[in-house]
Amino acid sequence: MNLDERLTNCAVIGAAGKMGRGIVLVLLQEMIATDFKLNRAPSRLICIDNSFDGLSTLKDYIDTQMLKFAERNISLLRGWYENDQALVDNGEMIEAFLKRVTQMLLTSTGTASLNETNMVFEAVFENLDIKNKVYEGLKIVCPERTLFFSNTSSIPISELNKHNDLNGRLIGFHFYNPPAVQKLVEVITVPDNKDADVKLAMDLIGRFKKLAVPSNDIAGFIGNGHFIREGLYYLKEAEALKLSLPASLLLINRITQSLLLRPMGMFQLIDYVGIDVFSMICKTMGQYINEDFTSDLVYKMLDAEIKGGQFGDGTQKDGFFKYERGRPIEVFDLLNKKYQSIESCEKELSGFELPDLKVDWKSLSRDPEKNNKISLAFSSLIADETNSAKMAVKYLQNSRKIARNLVQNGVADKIDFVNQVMTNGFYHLYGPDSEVLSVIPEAADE
Amino acid sequence: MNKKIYITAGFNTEFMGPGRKEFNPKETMPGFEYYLKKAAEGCMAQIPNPEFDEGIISNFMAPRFVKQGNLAGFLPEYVTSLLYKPCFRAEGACGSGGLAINMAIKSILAGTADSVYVTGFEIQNTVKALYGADILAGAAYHAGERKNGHAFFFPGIFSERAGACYEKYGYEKMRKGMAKWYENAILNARKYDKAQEFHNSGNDLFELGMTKPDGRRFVDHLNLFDCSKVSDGASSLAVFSEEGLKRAGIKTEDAIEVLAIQSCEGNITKRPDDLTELTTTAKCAEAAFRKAGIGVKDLDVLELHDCFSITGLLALEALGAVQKGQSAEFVFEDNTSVDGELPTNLSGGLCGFGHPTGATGVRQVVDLHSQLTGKAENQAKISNGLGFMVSMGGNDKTLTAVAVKKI
Repeated sequence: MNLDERLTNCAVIGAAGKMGRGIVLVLLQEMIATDFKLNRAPSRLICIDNSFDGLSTLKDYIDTQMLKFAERNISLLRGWYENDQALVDNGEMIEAFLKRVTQMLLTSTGTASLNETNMVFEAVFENLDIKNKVYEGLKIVCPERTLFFSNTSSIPISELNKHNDLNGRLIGFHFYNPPAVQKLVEVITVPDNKDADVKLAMDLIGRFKKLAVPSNDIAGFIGNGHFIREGLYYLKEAEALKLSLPASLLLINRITQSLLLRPMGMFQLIDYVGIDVFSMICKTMGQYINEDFTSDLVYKMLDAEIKGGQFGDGTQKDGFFKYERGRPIEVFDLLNKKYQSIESCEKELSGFELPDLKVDWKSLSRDPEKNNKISLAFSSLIADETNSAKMAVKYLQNSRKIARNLVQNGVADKIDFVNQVMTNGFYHLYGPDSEVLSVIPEAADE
Repeated sequence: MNKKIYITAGFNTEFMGPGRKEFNPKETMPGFEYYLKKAAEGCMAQIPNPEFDEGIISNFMAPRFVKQGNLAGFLPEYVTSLLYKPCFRAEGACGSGGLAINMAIKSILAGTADSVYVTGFEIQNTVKALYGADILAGAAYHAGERKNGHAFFFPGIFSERAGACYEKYGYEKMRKGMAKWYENAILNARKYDKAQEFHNSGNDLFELGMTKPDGRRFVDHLNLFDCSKVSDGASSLAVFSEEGLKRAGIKTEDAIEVLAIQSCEGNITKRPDDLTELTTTAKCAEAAFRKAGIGVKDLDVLELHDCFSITGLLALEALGAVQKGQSAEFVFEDNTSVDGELPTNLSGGLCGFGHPTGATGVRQVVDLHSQLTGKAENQAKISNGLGFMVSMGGNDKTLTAVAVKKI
């Protein structure tokens, strides 16, 4: 069964979640495009979730997003409806298109309708037991030909594959959030996978116009393999600095954003991901890898019911920071269990002023000369005697060390894959071990 | 003409749309009532005794953009002297304003009116551009052309013309002329606080105009800078007989005289014979020049319908200002700017001042009036006292040319 044929009947499990709905969207767009290309009847996309309300919200989301898609791609639609003489105006074509989308989607809280499904994309909660339970059910109802794609960011695919006797019919697809926008998909394969199925998976990601980066099946894979280790490093660093915890958090967050030229600081990123999610991934990785993935600070935050993450509408929940319109305005003080203003933390930070690099992530992100400018900025960090600059250099070395270890430990086949994941999945301007960093001296332990 | 016809008391509202700072399509923007009221007040404020015998309202697609028909019924609301008087609506797509002025003049020539109030308006920002394209496609033969047309339709129509010109005269030469047209449009519009591009403060206008068209993003042969934008707005003016002018209490020097008006209709169901020519425009302008007894070389100021930069260039050729194929060079060499040989579209034209379709023809005459009475913000040197305008609807289909003279 080729990819075109497989696309006639697909399903997303956990479709109402924030990853699930994004996968529904990219899949739906590809299925429609294929149907029109092959001039065939509308294919079927089955959206399964255990939340009835969630499925209802999913429909609204898909309606809104597909209307935007249709409006943005109106010339494409005009081509698709070229031979339909009844449809003349843009508005008429968009209306017909949205009706077709409705015809394609089937939502359900049960899996009975999956008996004809060729490909299942599973995006349920990142928990081995929950995932296993889902696959147990799927195995019963889905036909032998069904291929399974698990959206996991940490759980080893071989674990799911073996536990559920899927005989290599399962491939890991680690989409980045939000899947409709992010260009990266980490593809995790296991030796049991058939070559043809792996090729099909790669082709599919190409059809999504996304970049597939292969990762080996080691918990956390490349993306979290780097992110979680870096996060834990900074959490320990925050505890070790001879400053109050809020001041340490603020300082490290600033250095990791402004001096490392990243889109956001590390603790803001952990808030974005969710402290609870971060902790859960740590736990999963700790189960499979003989390495310390614990953080007292994370446990204390969770004990204080501070979890970060996002609200349904995408706004940021409070975590290490309290946010106003997406910007950190206060820092959490674990000692007193309350947020404290950034200004009061700053009072402690004399002697930790940040050197002005004259460039930032935003200004560089569309700059064709960015590589030169980053090298120049990092060279100036090395020449700088301030505490912050020294810390930044140390952080860059640490990031590079983590990247190299990922290759050494067989998570990534080559360093390029780590660089690709960090630049495409985390929007870093440079890979952790890329040419622009050659100005950063090797650390003793690298 | 069997009697003297005067035009005066011209007024333009701000032309609102993308480009103006106060434009925000996410908020409720002023409705057509706001523009019609403002246009009426602006015109009447210039007339000591604003009593009209007749009213003409020009508009293209209000029934679809704002779900409002029977537009003539709004004239007595804003111009109270029109209550129980004859009022008409003129519609000829983007050439509606030209037709409205012609209708007003016909009434005066026929002796059925001595004073006619003319206003034109369009509200287009009620829908997104891609739905607006469906509506505006009604300016062409919808059943015959829309299905195979571009998503944005009219840019596709004029892109085809631009493509034919590139092939015939060379891309580089045409592009330079079109880029210069854009530059002039913005530079001129900056002098008019009501112009849609008034707030445009870009530095590298010519370079922007030189942007290579990309059919995957827009249309094959035009870039976005070649296009007039979607606008809301209204214009107004008063047309008088000699007696009407006296009765209104207007000094003659505050008016301009109409030497000739000519409307010409092309067959909307037929494709152009030659994509590099505006045939109907040429016929219409020729007749108007002949009737007025003047030629294009006599003009102090010209108003052309530049819905796209290419249309402006081709109109120059249709008027005989230059030989066929020479317009791009003519414009590039700065002959159409305020101190050039043939000052054209001095308030920015459709590309710079804006193009609320039903208002545009009226706006063009309003600007000729302010030029010839010496009150323009971007004033040309007036020596012969002659101005000329061409109003166009559809793809060179509904034309009106007007020759006017300073008194």
